[in-house]
Amino acid sequence: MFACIYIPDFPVAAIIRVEPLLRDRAVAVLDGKPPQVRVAALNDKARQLGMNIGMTKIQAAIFAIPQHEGDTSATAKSDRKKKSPPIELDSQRIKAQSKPAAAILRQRSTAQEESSHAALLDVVHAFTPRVEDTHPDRLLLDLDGLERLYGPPSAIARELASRVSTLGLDANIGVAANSDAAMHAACGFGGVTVIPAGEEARRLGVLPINVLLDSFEITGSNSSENSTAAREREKLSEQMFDTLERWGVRDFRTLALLPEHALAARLGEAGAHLQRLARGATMRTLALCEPSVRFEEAMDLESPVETLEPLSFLLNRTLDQLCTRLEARALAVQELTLRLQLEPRVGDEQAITLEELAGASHTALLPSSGPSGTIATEAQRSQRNFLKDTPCSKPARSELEGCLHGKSLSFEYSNGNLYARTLRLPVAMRDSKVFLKLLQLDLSAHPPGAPVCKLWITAEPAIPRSAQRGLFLPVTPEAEKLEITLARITGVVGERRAGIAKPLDTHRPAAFRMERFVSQTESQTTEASPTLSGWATKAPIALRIFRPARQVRVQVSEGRPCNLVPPARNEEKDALQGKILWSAGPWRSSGDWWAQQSSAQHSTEDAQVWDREEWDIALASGKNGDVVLYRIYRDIATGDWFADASYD
Amino acid sequence: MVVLDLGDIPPESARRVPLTSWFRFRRAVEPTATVLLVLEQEPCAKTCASLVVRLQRIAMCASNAALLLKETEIHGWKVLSHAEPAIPSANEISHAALLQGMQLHAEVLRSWTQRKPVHSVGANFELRAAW
Repeated sequence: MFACIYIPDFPVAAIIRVEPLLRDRAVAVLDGKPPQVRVAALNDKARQLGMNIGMTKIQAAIFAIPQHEGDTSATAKSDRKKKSPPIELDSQRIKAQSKPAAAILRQRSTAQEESSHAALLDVVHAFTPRVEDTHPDRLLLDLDGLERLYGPPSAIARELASRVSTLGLDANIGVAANSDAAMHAACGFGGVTVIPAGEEARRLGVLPINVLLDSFEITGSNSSENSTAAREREKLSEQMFDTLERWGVRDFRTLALLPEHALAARLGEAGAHLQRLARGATMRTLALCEPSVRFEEAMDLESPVETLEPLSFLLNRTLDQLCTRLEARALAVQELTLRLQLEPRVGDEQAITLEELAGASHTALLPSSGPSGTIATEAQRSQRNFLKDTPCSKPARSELEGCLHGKSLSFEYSNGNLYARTLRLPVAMRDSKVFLKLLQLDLSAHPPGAPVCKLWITAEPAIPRSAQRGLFLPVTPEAEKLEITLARITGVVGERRAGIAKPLDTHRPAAFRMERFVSQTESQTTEASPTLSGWATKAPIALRIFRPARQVRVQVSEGRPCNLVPPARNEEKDALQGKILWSAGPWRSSGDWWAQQSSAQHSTEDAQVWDREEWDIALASGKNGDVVLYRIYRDIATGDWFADASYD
Repeated sequence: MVVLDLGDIPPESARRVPLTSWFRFRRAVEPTATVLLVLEQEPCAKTCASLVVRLQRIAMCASNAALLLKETEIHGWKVLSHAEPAIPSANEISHAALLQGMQLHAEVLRSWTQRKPVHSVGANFELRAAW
């Protein structure tokens, strides 16, 4: 048995999936470049209003909502207000006004259609791996062997329908003994249709002939065919429709009853094939498709969003859809990338010279070794995404790619700019609320800086983590809650200031790098810490480091510090001063002088030249006569003294 | 364990934290197995603290302290020689002196779990430098 999933009015369904509030409204989708903008798709409610496919934008705008009702169909409305001359379409206007709800116009979004199609494929692939990606609005499935899992074909069809409905799409499901009959049933009948084997001709007989020609046009065309061949096929289909119309053949049954040889003599092989399709007697092999490993959801915004709050609503919807897709494939997210297309500023078109990009790519394409590895990987990824998703023409793209690989060309890119943020999660998770909160915190810390026109969210899939922990281990907070808390702390204290301080592999004092906090795994917690093994009886002394180091004035006698004198100006009241009772030192250290020449190629974190002379001193404080231990040092290069830390 | 280090903050500033905040911290920690440890120059959590311990440095251990031993005794500050110094005490080279650690005295000022003791409860312990 085969099943077909068909989404009627797919461009409209893709928009309604993103904006569920439009489900009960009449929606028309506009496509084309001005001035040839026409209605490309509409739903049943829009048809009831009297709208048709092929209407011009101005004609469609008659049916749209008036401006004062505050809906977001701004494009059509503003154009109607500004550009369109008063057109005498009184009868249509009266008709539209008499209806209870008016139509909503939306621009066609290929990104949303692609997302919906990918979501559909994800759901279906979770059902069976034997799937043919026939067309964006229809998929064919081979149901052989699924009876043991899901029961009879009708139960399978219902299960399919319920799974597709979780995506926010309304699908027609057709089940039949051959794939073409299943497709005709799905396209011709609403809801779930199951045609038992041998009854195809009888059940499909009532369908209009244009259903047959639509599917004939789709199934006959291959993806490898060029546009000329596709146009020829479309032309052939139109010719056949005209011929059959003239013969009075308007449904499947009439076509199926025509004499086969006579039909082949008049319409050729294509006519005979059409008749076999109408009888439900064809049999073909499905061209199976691979499940996608790319999880991306996109949303085109009618009007740019300026503040974070409305953007959060949009992010919420998109993340919900993404998580539904991942759930269907039993996957979780390890890395989440948000990309925003920002509105170009008026009169200040952003120009990206290729020299800048080539320079950026040079840094980005450094070998990913050492501490700069993460940065290089991130830059490479963003560069790939930039290239992949930059909305520019093919020659321009090739120029851009050329420039990123070191060629020096001049190229101006003024289609708006992209803003990307990446969330790397310590553990794989799949909770859209957590993602939303993390993105909100991240965006509030790093606002895009311009209104957002379009957004993409890409998820790097990973295997979900197992929640089983040791019975006797202490309870740790949930990874999701911990991540949100860490993001909040980072928002308060700043980027790279929260996490785990990891010492660098250097002798430079107090050299460390902040790494993201990851809760210890089971194996790590059970192991004894090697650093504390020698300190079982005695606790280590602690240093309270001053950041930054406090400058002090030191009197030196016989080569050793003997007094900390107060500053010349009375600027610092709590400046360190007093007599040095005891001192130990000097301990001289220097390093990274070898990296001085090539310091431009290293990050400042990795190479900081130091040359210092350290002393441990016991200082008699002025107030109570307390004695405090300090570590002070003299910078050899400048000769200045600094208090580095106190012994706690 | 959650450590809140207010050691660098002057007591006048630390006292400005309202008592309600300390109670909130206490309420947040109480039902869990977490320890909230606040380091400060003077006790400012007041009655919220389950245990108040005062730490006081009583001695410093150095590998060679012969030079300034007399002077430091005047200030009530003891510089103790290490039991087995790596460098003989006669060596008067400046960098012969090496900080080895500190001796501290810990005194329990208040505890919710125990009744107030008749006399002070304290103990000495030693911190050692990592070298």
